Amino acid sequence: MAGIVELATGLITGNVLAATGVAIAVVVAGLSSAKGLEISGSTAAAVTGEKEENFSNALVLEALPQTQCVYGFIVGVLITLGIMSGNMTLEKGLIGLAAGITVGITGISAISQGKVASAAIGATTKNPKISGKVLIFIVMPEIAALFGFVTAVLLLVSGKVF
Amino acid sequence: MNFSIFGSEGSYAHAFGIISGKQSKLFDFRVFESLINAKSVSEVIASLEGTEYDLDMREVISAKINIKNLENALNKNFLRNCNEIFSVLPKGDAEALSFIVFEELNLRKLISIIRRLHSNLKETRDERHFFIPYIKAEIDYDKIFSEISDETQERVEKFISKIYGTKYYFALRNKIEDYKKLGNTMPLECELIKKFTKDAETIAKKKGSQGLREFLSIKIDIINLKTLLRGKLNAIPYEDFLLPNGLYLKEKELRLLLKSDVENFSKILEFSPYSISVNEAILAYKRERSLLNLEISLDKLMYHIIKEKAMLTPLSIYSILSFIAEKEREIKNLQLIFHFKECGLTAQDIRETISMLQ
Repeated sequence: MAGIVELATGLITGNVLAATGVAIAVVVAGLSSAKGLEISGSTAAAVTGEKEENFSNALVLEALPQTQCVYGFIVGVLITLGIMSGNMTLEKGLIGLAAGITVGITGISAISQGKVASAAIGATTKNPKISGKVLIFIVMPEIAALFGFVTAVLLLVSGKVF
Repeated sequence: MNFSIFGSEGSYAHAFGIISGKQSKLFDFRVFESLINAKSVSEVIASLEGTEYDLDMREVISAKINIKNLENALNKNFLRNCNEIFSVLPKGDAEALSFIVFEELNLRKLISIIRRLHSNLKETRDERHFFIPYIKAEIDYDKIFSEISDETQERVEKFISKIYGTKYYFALRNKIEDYKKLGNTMPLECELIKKFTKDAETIAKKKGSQGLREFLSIKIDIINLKTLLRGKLNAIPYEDFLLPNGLYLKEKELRLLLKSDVENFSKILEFSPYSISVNEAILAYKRERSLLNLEISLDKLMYHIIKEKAMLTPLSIYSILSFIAEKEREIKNLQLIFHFKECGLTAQDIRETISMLQ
């Protein structure tokens, strides 16, 4: 038992923790964006299929759940830069992990955003004049992801991770 | 992590997109006005050029322009629209929904025919309730009508014997004695509806989603309200016709409504979304002593509930049902316009009938 604990403790290095943070940031935010885009994209494709002139409006609204994936990717790259610098202590690794979790979990808002985008695309199809107004509704779930992203970057900066 | 978030939203989002596109193509009152003002059936057909119905009308023109072909073309359009939406849904929901939508239409058609036979209606404006798109009817109604010409009750009985071999036969056969005793088609209708809801519930339970089951429960509530009001207003014993498993109207509420006068219904139903509409339905019935008015009011209630839920949860079964109800109404109006143009009715008469049915 003591051997296993020793082995596990030996495995938990700054690099391992930081790499876990990268994985969470990129995978969770990426998966959520993919699901959000599946929802909004399905609606966008269907309304374009019904009426070609819906394409331009649908495209703008459909693409918004993509941003969470970008946030996850940026945070992932920043942590990776820290790993590449070779100065990843256990403390810095933990900060990297926290940043990854923050941006990854808040990135789940992409799924809700996809649903809002889908409803907005439907509403715009019926009344094209409201395309600017519905954009505000779609941006709302983005705020959670944005807060997560800013917090994660601040964590990385204050912890001098990269 | 709860993996239900990775569930069937994609399918419903796809269906929602198709619906949104189709909804934007539905006719508004201006289009209907121009169709109503058309001078002939051919002019109505010409006005439909470049619309959703273009392809269907071309088929009619290439065959023969008559009411039957036009009705078939409109039914085909309805079927095509529904199937296009069902094809992108999760398999279980698609199967259950297609059964509920198509079977209900067939049933409404069958019930309207039984009523028509019972009242011995001729081909007049009173036949307006006859216009319902129907899909997979196993019954050749035209052939049966040409063979029936007896008195009222025998007409209905003969009709039932003619549909031997279909799934409706035994349900109707079992209630013939009750029908004769009461001199009212209610036992026959309720038995058909009971069979339909039972089948729908079985399919929804086995294959459908939670949303579909909830919709079915609301439907049962509305059916029970129709039965209760119809039974009370016509003094028909109806306790046996009430269905279990409603959403708001459980056994306790049904028992309360059974004991109460229709005037108190809205008070008892205050906890549910049905209260105001029930009052309106009673008033609508009392205005002309018309069962059709009562049913239209309660169907409107069902439509409003669906529409409201569709607005709150666009990626759900309610958006689909809301569109289907709108499409059905559009097709029904087109059928009416074609039929009345053929009969030579004035634009004003057509307008009145259509607005009455909205």
